[in-house]
Amino acid sequence: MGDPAEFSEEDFKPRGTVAIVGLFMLTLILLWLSVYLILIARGVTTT
Amino acid sequence: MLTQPRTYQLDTSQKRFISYHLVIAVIALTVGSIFGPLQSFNWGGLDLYQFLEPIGLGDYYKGLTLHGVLNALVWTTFFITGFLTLTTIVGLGRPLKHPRLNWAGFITMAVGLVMAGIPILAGWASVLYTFYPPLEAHWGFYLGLTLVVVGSWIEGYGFYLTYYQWRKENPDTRTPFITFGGLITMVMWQLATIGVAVEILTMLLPFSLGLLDGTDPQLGRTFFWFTGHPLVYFWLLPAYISWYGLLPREAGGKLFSDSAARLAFWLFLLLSIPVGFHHQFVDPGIPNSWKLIHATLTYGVAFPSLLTLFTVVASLEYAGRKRGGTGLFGWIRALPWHKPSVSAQLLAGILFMFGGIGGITNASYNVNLVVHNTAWIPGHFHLTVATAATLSYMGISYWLVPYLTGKPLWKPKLAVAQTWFWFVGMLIFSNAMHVLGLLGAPRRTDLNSAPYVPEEWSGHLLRVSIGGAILLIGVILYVLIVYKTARGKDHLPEGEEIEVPIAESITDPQLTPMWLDRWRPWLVGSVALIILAYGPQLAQQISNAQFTSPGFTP
Amino acid sequence: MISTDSDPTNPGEDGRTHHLDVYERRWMIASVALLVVFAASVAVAGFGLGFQVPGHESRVDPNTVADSPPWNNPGLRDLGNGEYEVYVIGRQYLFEPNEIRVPVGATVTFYVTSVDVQHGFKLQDTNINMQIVPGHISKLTRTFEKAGEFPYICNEYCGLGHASMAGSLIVEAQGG
Ligand code: HEM
Ligand SMILES: [Cu+2]
Ligand SMILES: [Cu+2]
Repeated sequence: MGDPAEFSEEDFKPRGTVAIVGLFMLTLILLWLSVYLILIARGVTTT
Repeated sequence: MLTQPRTYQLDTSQKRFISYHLVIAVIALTVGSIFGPLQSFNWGGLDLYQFLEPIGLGDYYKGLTLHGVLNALVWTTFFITGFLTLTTIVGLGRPLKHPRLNWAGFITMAVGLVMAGIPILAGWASVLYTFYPPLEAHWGFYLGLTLVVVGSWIEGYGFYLTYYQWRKENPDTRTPFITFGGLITMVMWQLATIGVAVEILTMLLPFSLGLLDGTDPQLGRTFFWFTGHPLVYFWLLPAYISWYGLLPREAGGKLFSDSAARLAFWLFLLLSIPVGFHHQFVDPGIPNSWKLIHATLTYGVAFPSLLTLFTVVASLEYAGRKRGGTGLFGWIRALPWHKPSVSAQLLAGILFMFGGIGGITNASYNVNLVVHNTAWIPGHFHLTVATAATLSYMGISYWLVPYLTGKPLWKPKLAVAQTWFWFVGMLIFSNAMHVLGLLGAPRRTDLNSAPYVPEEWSGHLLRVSIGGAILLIGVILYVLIVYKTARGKDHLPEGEEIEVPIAESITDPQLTPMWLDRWRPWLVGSVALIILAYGPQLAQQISNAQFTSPGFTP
Repeated sequence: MISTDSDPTNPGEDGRTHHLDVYERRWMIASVALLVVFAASVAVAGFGLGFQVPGHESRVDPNTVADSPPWNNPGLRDLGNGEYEVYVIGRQYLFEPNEIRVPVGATVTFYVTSVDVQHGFKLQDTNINMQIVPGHISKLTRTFEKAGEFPYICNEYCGLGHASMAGSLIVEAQGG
């Protein structure tokens, strides 16, 4: 754990947030794609 | 600099008024949640309903109706109206303009609850919480639900009048964020519930009273889902108010961006309603072009939630770093996980990420064919309403109940454990439900007596039961902690009263652009978008309506 | 208290008003881009490959629909050339017919309606998944390339006996 005194509001850059939302987006793509591929694998249905 | 005056203190009568909302909410959750684990055990092959037969609760679908109505409609609506009362008066720093009006609203809701509850318990309304016609329930059920909604409207009018007065006196001040979010939630709800109000008043109520021979079930679905999708935002937005407006303070930080938070709320008002056809992708009576329009708009309403993810996580990162956390992820551990309210909301947020992923999947037009009416769907919304909303409300009540009663929280460590029971139980439960849905398992089904359950499902069905058992512990602990806190003998020591944890924003709200604090353009835009996205198709369905479908009791 | 030296109707002289964090702005752009890609993928599946949801077909009177053709005799119709139609009636708590047999390679159009309450029609392991609404006909078409048994189940709550509502489509190997 760092020294709280090092923290400065002005310099705050949400780097961890960027990492988290990036990982989230990756998960979103993978999970969404897996269901999309199930749709494709089950064969076409037309009206 | 905006220095906040000490937050407005509620007097005893105001606290009592909010507490009554919570009492009903928690009782509803207690009763409603008995059936969740029963359902999950049934799916795993353990049928406990036979033991409930003597007290008239032996039917799976009566239980499921109670579960859906009491949890998704009653626990939420009573908690939310209570919480929004708080965000209105604490945010604005003034009492309700007409407390009697809000009391009238609350009493209307309570009367409605009793009126709807009796037919359900009697078995005259086993129509589930969506009450799709032409399944027919006792008229008391429909009238009761209407009164609950009307009561919530009346409470909303009380908020508006209070706000109006404040606005007249403070024309240039940005509306305090928690009040702002609460008002948008209420306005959205009042627009949204027009659908179900029309469905009940023009169709279901006259029909159940014998004044109409039949209904138009397709039109009924369209009215229902006009309300049904924004309903989920009615559940979520109060949690968002807390995540944006309170949680950062509880975690020791500040709101990362006041503007982004307000923008997200306006977008929810704008886009929550004109998306209802995404629940009707596989309905026969709606042209596919309209389904596509709503699918596109649904992608639009995903945007403010994605924005929320960033702003809320950044606010938490700010808090974590301020507390000494370092590195890319070290700040997460530095957050005050030992506070039950914080732990609840962090865990709720984590599971909600998966809820969001599932939601975008459901909304994806033809992809919906894979999941529609399968176990995936309850798997999905137990992450949203039953976790993102419910676990957050639980977290809120861990400071709110002490705040209202002036008594310390009973066993805070146990409360932290409670939030983890919910998290772990839901993780197992919901993962199994999603997988079952992909394998084809239907929802809303007494699977223990279904003839078609393949061996392939059994492992996952068992996991549903295991998750349900862990969740049962989570519910019991929650109710126990709230009860023990409220009935505790000790009072908080003098000078240690709890304050509503209103978070400051890193950016001064007064510098937030004015257009993010103006009602008219957003209201006009919302109504216009609803008319564009629903008007033509709704007009078509209404003019072609055939009230020919006679009623059937389940 | 609110400082009054900054004009609230014209804030932002210090440049902070419209300040949106650069990372947040990039996230917003990435979010929109991702949603556009998803929408495009859905469109490709829907209009390029033909994966469609049931659309508006036709209306019937649920009280009388079962009295006249084709619904008075639900079941399979062989249209020749490997094309079939099947008419399915849903009622509390069964499908008529509850068994359908077609040969491998059959292209089957399912027409389903209800004579009482709402039902669901989900043909397992396929993308046939339809809401069955009294007064409307739900329709989808699919070709069956492989032999096997496909249960169809009711996946909308239709009353206390809902769990038992199911049938079976059997795709038979040629000459079998
Ligand atoms: C105590 C933990 C819980 C468990 C184990 C549980 C379990 C279940 C299960 C297994 C189902 C599916 C039943 C079926 O489709 O046949 C279900 C449905 C449902 N649950 Fe829960 N649940 C819990 C808590 C909650 C909470 C807290 C809420 C809302 C705040 C909620 C809202 C719903 C709703 C709306 C449905 C759908 C009802 C319907 O299809 O008509 N549940 N629950
Ligand atoms: Cu929705
Ligand atoms: Cu059914």
